[in-house]
Amino acid sequence: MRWSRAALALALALAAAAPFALAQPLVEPPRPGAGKPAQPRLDFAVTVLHASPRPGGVDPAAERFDQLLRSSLRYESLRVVKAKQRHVKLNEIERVRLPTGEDFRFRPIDAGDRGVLVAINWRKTARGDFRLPRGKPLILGGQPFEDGQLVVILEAE
Amino acid sequence: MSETSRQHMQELHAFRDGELSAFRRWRVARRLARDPRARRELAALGELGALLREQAESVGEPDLWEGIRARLPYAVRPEPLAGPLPERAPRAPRAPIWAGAALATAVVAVVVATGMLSGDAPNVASVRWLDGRGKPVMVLRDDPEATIIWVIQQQPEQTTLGAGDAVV
Repeated sequence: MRWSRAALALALALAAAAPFALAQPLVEPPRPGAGKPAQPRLDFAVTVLHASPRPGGVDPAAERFDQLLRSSLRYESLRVVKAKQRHVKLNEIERVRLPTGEDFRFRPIDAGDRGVLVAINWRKTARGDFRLPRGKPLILGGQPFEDGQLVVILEAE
Repeated sequence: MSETSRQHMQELHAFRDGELSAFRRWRVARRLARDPRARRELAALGELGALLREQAESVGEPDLWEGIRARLPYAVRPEPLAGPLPERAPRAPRAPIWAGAALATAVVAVVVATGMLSGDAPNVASVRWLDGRGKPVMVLRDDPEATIIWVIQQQPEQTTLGAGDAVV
């Protein structure tokens, strides 16, 4: 008697679930045109500045960064030494040669809605991982160069 | 990163660490022979490993905090308390436990209702980890506009005078 009740309950449950199971395909049909996703290329801008205590004014090309740096740093002149555009794939290491002869290296690790996660390695200066939302520059400075210091700015575009 | 590329990366990690079975090792070696991108990824892993080893070796270096604190431009050092500690005020009557639970529930409800935990919430901070290679390093700014990181050289190029700005 007990078994027959259990069997009846199971049968009812299966009968109730059957329409849903039939309505839902077991394997999602392939969408037309959906091939292997291409690995995105990410656009970066690398700007190298020279900040110096000597008078000399601000390079017009460095004015945007001057507005960001002025409240935190003291310098008398700011000029653009180098400005580069780089198209980099995920996990690809990109290098920018600095005036000191050293490489500034970066590698995008991950890209998402909140920006690009980038690993940075600036020899003899600093290294780390940073998330770069689009339009928010990462400004690294402090390496002595000539009479001032170098500032490297990395932006995800 | 897609699931396939994540698996490939994990396989490369395991290959590099000698953790694969003979068959899987042979399969990865074959992929490496055919795919220049896989070779680059493996080379990048080697570089990452070298960096990690370098970092691990630097763990035994002396504690630099005192030097860093002395150079921090915005640091305000609190004076030590001279007198005895003030007596504690009499305790306020405790709220019942259910009140705390209700408050916590209300907070969770607000967070969920307003979508604070969703991906749309602004994530301001950019710095995940940072190493100044033994030198003092400061995050001067990390807000929605910019992240400014300054590595301080060993020479006395930093001041704590005035507004306390870093000096070039």
